Parts: sequence; structure tokens; C-alpha cells
Amino acid sequence: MQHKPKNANRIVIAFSLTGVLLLAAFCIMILVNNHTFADKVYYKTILDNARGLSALPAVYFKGMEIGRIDSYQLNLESNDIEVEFWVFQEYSGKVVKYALLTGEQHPIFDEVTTLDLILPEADKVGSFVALPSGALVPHINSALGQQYLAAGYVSRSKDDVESILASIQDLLQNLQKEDNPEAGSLFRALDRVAKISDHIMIVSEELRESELLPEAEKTLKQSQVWLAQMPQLLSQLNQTLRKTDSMLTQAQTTLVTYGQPTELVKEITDSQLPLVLQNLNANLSVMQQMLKDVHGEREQFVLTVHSVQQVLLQMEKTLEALNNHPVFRDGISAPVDNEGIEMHD
Amino acid sequence: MTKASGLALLCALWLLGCSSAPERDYQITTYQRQAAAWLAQGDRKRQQGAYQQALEYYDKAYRYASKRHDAEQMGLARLKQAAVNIRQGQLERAEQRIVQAEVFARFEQTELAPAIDFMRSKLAFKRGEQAQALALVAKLQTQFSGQTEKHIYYRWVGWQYAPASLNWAQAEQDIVQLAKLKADKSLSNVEIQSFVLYHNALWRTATGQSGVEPALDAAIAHFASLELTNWLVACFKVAVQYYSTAADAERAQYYQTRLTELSQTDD
Repeated sequence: MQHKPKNANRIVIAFSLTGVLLLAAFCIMILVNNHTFADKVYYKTILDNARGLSALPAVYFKGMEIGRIDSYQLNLESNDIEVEFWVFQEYSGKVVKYALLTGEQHPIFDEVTTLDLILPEADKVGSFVALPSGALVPHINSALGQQYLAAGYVSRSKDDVESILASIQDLLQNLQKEDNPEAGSLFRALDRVAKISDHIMIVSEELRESELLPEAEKTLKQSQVWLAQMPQLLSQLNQTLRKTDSMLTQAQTTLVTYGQPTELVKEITDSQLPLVLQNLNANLSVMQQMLKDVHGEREQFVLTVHSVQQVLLQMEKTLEALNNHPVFRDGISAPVDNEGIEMHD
Repeated sequence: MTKASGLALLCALWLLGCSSAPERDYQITTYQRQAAAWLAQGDRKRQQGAYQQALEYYDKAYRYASKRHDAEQMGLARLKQAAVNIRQGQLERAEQRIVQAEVFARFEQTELAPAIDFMRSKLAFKRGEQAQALALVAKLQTQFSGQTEKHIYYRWVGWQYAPASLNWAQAEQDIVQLAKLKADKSLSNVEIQSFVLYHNALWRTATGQSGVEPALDAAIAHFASLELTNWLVACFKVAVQYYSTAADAERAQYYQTRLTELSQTDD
């Protein structure tokens, strides 16, 4: 059976027509959506990287979509990417001399690049002069763009991520500052601990170097020896006195001896006393220095003690919290009350 | 699987629901805790027979309690000192300490009255005023009739004052009851059990009652578990005495050896 449209079922025609109409409507919608019918003005720009351009991203001005990338190609000589983009007729007045394009990569999908149009500073460039169609709008990273930036024609708005990174940088720097009363407390505390340990090391080193203990031992031994010699010395003195008494002929000599008490001491202590005193003196000066060091560090000790107290307070609170927790409470024994007077004795 | 995850979820929710935030506590209890610690140390020393040290520790407890003006603890420290004084035969000093405790009981809100009565009864017994001692103990017995542990203790103290009134059937019941309390972990003062077990062995030996051997074993095991060497020595003395009269010479010798050994190490 031959197919004849006029004999065909009307419903089939209606279906076909509906399909064709729908197709046409969709095509028109797509074209409208692509701004095919809008009035556009074309411009050029030069980029050094074509990544993300394949999606033909939009061009924004203050967040408004004012245009779109149309095409791009690689210049085989200069290795630059030559990009052609269009801007709606109504916004073409915004593409002025000294205006720049900035490209931003999406932080996660780094392919998509949005292009933003930045206007120059009105007080630097005077009245805006709109660029003709086909003119070059430099990208901010290009040599010309950098030149505009350096000249102050265009000011770059702060990047959000960049400002966060800068804040973190600031914070880290503050933490590291030693004498900043507002910041750096953590590092200050650590530094203080390090200083204290340094001083402790110095004190112990001095103690070791001064050989205080062996010296003190030596001194004690010498004193002991000297004390042990005392009876002997006394008997010598006694003998001398007896001699004085018995031998009047030697009175002159004895008088001379008694006339020089330092010599006498020197003689009866076998010249040991000055040595002992000298050692004692040296030890005392070392001791004094040590005490001075400890005294100098007293504020550090106070701070340390205070810190320890704070930590203990926190620990007490933590334990209290544990004590109050219905799950752990039973694991912690309560303090025992006084048991009363009943006793076994 | 679903059940387990449901259970885990419930558990997590329950834990979240339970607040573990610290409850506000405005009291500072440093001195109180120190006083209690010194009292406990004093008790331990008294149990070990180091009476001089016990007196010193009670004194320290008193000092800390005094800093807090904790009349209860101050009075208790003084009464415990009085007990040690009575034990050492220093009755005048004990009297002074009891009077100090009575002052606190008079002017402050305390629960010292029963403790004071008990010390008064001990003092009276030591002075030979048996009737007064017994009256005070009887009063305490009625006062603590609701508290098994203390009731038993004061009954046994009464028997200590008047051995003639001793009722062995009751005594056996008391021992069983104390053992049960201990097994339930509800015995609050283990010294009461010490008192009962030691006197059980002592009185059974002295009066020639039956059941001395299990009584001795129980007392020795009890004091060993408390590591109270001095009371172990006391038990060994009783054991030596009992086994010598019971003509078990080997056992008597065994306990004699232990006794000598412990007496030597003590010195």
C-alpha cells in the first residue's frame, strides 16, 4: 500500500508537525541563549594560556555578564593565544581605553576561566574614551596590562583567597614575634622555658666548672688538718712559753717573735691559714654569683609557678567534669568521710 | 547490621544528652582535705600502735581543721587524741581533750555528741567507774539501734566493760552479720570488725569456749589482710597461749617462732 500524505491519518501529521515545531523552537531557544541574535561588538585580547577557554567563558563586568569569548587561536610565531570576544552593544561603552581584562581560575575546577573587565581610575585617565570594535583590550598579566597597573591607571581589587593567605601569613609572623605583648604568647612562653633551662644549664655548668664541691671538701680537709694540729701547736706554744720563762737569755728573741703576730700565726699554722682563707673566699664569690643568678631568675620562677597553677586548675576542672559525667562517675572514687570514733584499741 | 547501627546511634545520642559540664562548686576544700588526710594517717598509725606519731598526726589534722574553723573535724581530732591518751594511761590529758571537744559541741552545730559520750565511757571505765561507762554505752546502743555496724560495736564494747553479760549466740550472729556487711562492701569502718574478731578470739581463749581455732584463723587472716603486724603479733600471743594449754605443742611452737620473728623485725 502506497503512502499518501493526504490520506494519512491526521494525527500522524499533527505529530510530525509538532515535532518539527518543537525542533524549531528549541533551535531558536538555543540560538537566543547563545545571544546569536543580539547586537555585539567584537574585541581582541592576548593571553599566554588557553586553559579553560574551550568552554568559551563569559566576560563579566562587576558581576554582570556583558559578553563571551568567541574564538581563540595560537599565534605560531609569538606563541601567544589570540582571543576574540564580544560584548553586547549596550555594554560596549564600557570597553574604554586603559580598561583591562582579568582572568580568574576556578579554585576547584581550574579549567573554567572567567574574564572580568576592569575600568581604569577616572581621576588618573580623565574622561573615558570607548574603544572601537576590533580593538585590543589588554589582559592584566600582559606587558601592557602591567604597564597600566604600574602607572596606576587601573587598581587591582583584592583577591579573597589572597587576602586570607596574607592574614595567615600575618598571624604566623605575629606568633613568631617575641616582644609583641598582644601576640606571640605561645612562642613567648616557649622562649621563656628555653631561657630558664639555659640559665639552669649555665648555673649547673658554673657549679661544675667552679669545682665547688671538691674545693669545699679540700677546705674542710685542710681545716681538719689544722684543727688536728691545734694540740700540737698549743704544746709548742707552751714550750715556747716555758722557754721564755726558763731562758731569760733568749728573752730578746722571744719578744721579737711575739712582736710580730702575723708571723707567729704563719709559723704555727705552717703557712696554711692564708691558703685556707683564700680558698674560702674564692668559693664564697662563686656562691654569691650563683645566688645572684638564681635571684635574677626569680620572676621567671614566679611565672612558671603561676602557669603550673593554671594548668592544675584546668586539670581539676577536667576531673570535675569527668566526675560529673554519668558514665565515668562510678570509676572515680569519692573522698572518704570521717569514719567516726569507733575504733579498735 | 541495622540493629547495631541503631544501637550505636542511640548510644551516641545518650552520651550527647548527658551533660558533663562541670557543676559549679564555690567551696574550697584544701584544708578540709588536708585535715581528713591527716586524720586518716593518724588512724593508720594508731592501728599500727605508733601512738606518739598518731598523736602528732591528729594534731596536724586539728591545725588544718582549725584554719577552716571546721568544728566537727577539730572535735574529732581531739577525741581521737583522747582515745590514744586513754590507751596510754594519760587520763588527765584525755579529760582535757574531751572537754575541748565538748566546747565545740556546745557552741557549734556538730554531731560530736555520740563520740563524746563514747570517749567519756572509755575514760570512766579506765577510772574504774564501771556503772557510768556501761550506762553511756547502753545509751549509744539505743541511739544507734538503726545502724547495725555501730550497734554491734557498742554491744561488744559493753561486753568488754562487763564480761559477765557476754552472750555467745549473739556474738556469733554479730560476726556473721559483720562478715556479710563486708562482703557487700557496705561496712564503713573496718576497725569495728577488727575489734570484734580480735576480742572473739581473745575471750574464747580466756573463757575456755569452743571454736577458738576458727576464731583465731579468722582474726589472723583479717589482720594479715590489713597488714597490721602489731595485731598479728597479739593474735600469735593468744594462739601460743591457746595451743600450749590445748597440748598442741607443735602448733604452739610454730606460732611462737612467728611471734619471735615478728617481734625481732619490729625492733
